[in-house]
Amino acid sequence: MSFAARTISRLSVIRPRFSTLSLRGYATKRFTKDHEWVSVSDGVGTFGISDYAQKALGDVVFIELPEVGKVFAKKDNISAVESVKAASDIYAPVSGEVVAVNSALATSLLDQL
Amino acid sequence: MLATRRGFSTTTAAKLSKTSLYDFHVKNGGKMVEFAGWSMPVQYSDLGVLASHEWTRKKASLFDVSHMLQTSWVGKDRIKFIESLIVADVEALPVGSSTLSVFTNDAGGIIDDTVVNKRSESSLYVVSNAGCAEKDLKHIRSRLADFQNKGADVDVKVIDTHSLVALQGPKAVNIIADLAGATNGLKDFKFMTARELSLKGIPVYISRCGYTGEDGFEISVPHAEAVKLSELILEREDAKLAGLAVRDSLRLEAGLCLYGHDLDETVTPVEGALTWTIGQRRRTEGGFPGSAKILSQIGKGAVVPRRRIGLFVEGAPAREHVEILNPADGKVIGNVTSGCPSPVLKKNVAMGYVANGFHKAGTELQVRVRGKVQKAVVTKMPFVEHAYYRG
Repeated sequence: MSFAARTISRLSVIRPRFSTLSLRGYATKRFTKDHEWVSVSDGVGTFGISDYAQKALGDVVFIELPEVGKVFAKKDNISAVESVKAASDIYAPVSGEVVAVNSALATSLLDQL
Repeated sequence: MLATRRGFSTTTAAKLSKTSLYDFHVKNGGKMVEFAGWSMPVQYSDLGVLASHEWTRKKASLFDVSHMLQTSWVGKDRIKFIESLIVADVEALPVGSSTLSVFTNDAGGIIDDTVVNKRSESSLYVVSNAGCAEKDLKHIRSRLADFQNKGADVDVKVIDTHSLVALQGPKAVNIIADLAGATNGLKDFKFMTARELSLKGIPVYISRCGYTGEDGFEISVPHAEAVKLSELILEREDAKLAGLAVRDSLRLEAGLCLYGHDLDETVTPVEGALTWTIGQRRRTEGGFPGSAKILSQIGKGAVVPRRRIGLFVEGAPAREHVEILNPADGKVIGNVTSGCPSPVLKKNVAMGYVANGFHKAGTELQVRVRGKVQKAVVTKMPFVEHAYYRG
């Protein structure tokens, strides 16, 4: 499952409405209280869940990815990460429009066992 | 995120009961959580849920299930008494044999599911769910008082002297046969029977049964010997400790109900697809609570408003409370009561209830998970074939 462990933390790329997080030339990584992180660079934010969170989930078997083009407000339910036992909702750390998703996560991870 | 949904909570134990294996679990890396008022290991630090699930299906997993309620029913009228509470034909049960049954309420709903063993010519050994222990005892004792007041010779005692551990998986029999010094490899010890054995000098009452769909045993062992027995079992390279989390995925693949989720007081045995637990003689004689309602659901002209079914689900796993829809008009026709991704089948399995008429195997339905409609198909259970030893 090392494939998933490396890439799971990078879920989506969002173009945020307000790039208050970006400094010219820098990508700044910020965390929410719910273990989502977002890193903004040139008006485009990449977000995922923290290493702590993915370890706490245990064996992840399914990830629901948002659709490209969908517009979210901050704190909207944007995704879900599932272990055998439970589904954990993931909330958008910033508002924006999804411009890309990490499609490596799209297939059921059970197939890789 | 990280909101746990299944009713497990990590609490700093305030007044939680501990089994005789508590320290042993902690020593072995058990992550202790609250379950039914007990502090129990949900998993162990060296083994994820998926790996533990696979281990159980290929080797042998050892579970502490001491939180379950074990009772002893004695007295000349014990069979008459238990038959006044459950749907089984206990009279016809051979000595040494066990059967799955249900306690019913006056409305025909299920109070709890249980395994009843005819231990000897003078006693019954009964095991029921930890989460229903208080409720079951209150119910049993109330009915017992009525019986005793009418002069019946019967008593029900909680077995508080023994712990209960389960060893489940294809390698379980090799381990137990070895500990028992059994030269015949326990070939005569069939599924759903129980006997007294001595495991390296430890006297136990052991049943060939379990709740994982695998061959295996549930072992009632004196508290003082529970750790020693567990250590003896774990000395075998084929045995590993397993926690409560993996019990759920195992029983779900095996199509077995979890009381409080797939069964509750509003569900009759017929609706719960447990008609088979009602003994033949009991179907004509009745004599258990709610028998009029239950028996009206069996046979010609029977009206059964809803049925428990198995589902294969495409897309995201459908879990408890997910709505089941009629694809023809999108209307809600039922709901999921349990579900998870099946580690063995690598597809999502679920159990739920649908309106009568939608329950036949092969019926194409839909489920709505987080607002998204996904395909589902009614599937016969068990999802993964049982491996019970029938001789």
